[in-house]
Amino acid sequence: MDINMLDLFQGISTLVSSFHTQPEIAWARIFLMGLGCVLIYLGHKGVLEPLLMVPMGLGMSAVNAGVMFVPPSMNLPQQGDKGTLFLNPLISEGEKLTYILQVDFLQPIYIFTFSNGLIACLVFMGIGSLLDVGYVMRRPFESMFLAVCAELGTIVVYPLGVAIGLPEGAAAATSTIGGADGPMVLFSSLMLAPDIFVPITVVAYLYLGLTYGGYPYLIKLLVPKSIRGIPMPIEPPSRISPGQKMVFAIITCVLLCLLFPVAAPLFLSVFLGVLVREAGLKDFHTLFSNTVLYGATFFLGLVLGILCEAATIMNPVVFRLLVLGVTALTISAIGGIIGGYILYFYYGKKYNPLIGLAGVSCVPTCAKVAQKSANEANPECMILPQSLGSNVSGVITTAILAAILIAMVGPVK
Amino acid sequence: MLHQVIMKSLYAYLLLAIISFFVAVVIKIIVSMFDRAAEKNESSPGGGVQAAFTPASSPVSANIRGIPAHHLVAIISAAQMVAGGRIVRIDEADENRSWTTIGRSQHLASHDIRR
Repeated sequence: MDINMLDLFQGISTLVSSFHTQPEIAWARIFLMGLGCVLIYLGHKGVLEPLLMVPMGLGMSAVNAGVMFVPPSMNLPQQGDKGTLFLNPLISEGEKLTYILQVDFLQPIYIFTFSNGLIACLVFMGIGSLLDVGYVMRRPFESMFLAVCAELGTIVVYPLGVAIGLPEGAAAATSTIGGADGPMVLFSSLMLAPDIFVPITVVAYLYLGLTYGGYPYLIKLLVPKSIRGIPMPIEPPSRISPGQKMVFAIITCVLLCLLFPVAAPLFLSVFLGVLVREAGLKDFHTLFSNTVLYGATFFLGLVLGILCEAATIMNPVVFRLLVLGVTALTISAIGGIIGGYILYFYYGKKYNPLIGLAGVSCVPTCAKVAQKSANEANPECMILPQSLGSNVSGVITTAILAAILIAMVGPVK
Repeated sequence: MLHQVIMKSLYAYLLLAIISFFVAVVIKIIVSMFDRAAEKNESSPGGGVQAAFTPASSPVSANIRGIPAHHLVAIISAAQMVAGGRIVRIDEADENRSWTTIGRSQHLASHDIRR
């Protein structure tokens, strides 16, 4: 009996086979196995967001290790004879989908929560239940102004994407990375460019690491220490009641849904979370802020890691998306800081411009980054309330801008 | 084509600014309406103002959600003395959960700036 010992260990066999036929895929698999471990380490150390990076990192390592030879029923013709038992994102209809739903263990999660944006809505429900819209209500014009400034990255990268050759829908979807709002990017790519959904979601969620890891250096470059440490005046106790916040949530939700039905699911999700919080529905609040949010975040991270299989993302488009995504986030941060500086001069140099950075809507990461940077310059400096105001407004403006782009560019039919 | 896209982008930004301003106006109106209603309530006969604090020597202290105000002052002052500059949160405990669960939940949902 002749047994090819290598075929017993298909993960290695497929790697050896790839070195002969598609060496770039083979090297990418090895690189991604290592990258997954690096992401776990960086998440554990707090450099990147651990809630996403830990499951994503292990998923990435595991899926690139667990490649095997699969029958034609599990792959599209262009995918060849190698695949995994995790999920196949390229199969979307017909008998193959029905078959693969019963075989790949994460395929149902991907098909029934990613493709239709449900996971984005679940995350938004959880985020909404943690949001205190009181910060926005106390200083609405200031918060909204900073949030609008912090959308500059989206505005710049949209034409830039077209200029480097992306179709308009793909450029618009990629530019929404500048809003630093993962669920919004997911949703925009589903509506505008479903064919690049996989690479764009991978790139989009790296923003969590980029904001936490990269923004402090940008702050040091753009804002001198003396200005970073400007203290904000202590404000009198808030008179905004839960009832007022509920009214705000209801009116804003209905108004935004009326204006932009294309983003209505996301508006509903985030304001539903806010409503549950302010209505004092403790059990629902616990459900949304714990089970729903952490469950959705966990599966989001895990599926994203699984999607980073070498054969899936080894695409020249991905590199372009990565460059555009980083550019969008950087320009958004610069826009927010510019907005902060405008208010700094408007208020006679008594306003901390770091609050503008928090207009980039990675809640509450950007607000925390702003506060941390202010504290490094001045330990007595407290800018968190104002930062959270513009942070929360950033969620609203990102949703509005995504809805505008979807309405202007048009959803893919 | 690129020129058209640039114009679209600028138009989208302008639209965003206008809608955001509109949302800010709506928020301001809501807050103002409720502030006016609260002021009316306070100034009307029988509409009491809940005092934030009364001196600790007062025989009858105002209560904040059932907690004597001078107790709150003492707790906050003690916390500031022990570890000045920290944010103190005082809230009702959930009877259905242990204090460790509450604490963990608060921590996970907190805006911990010292991470």
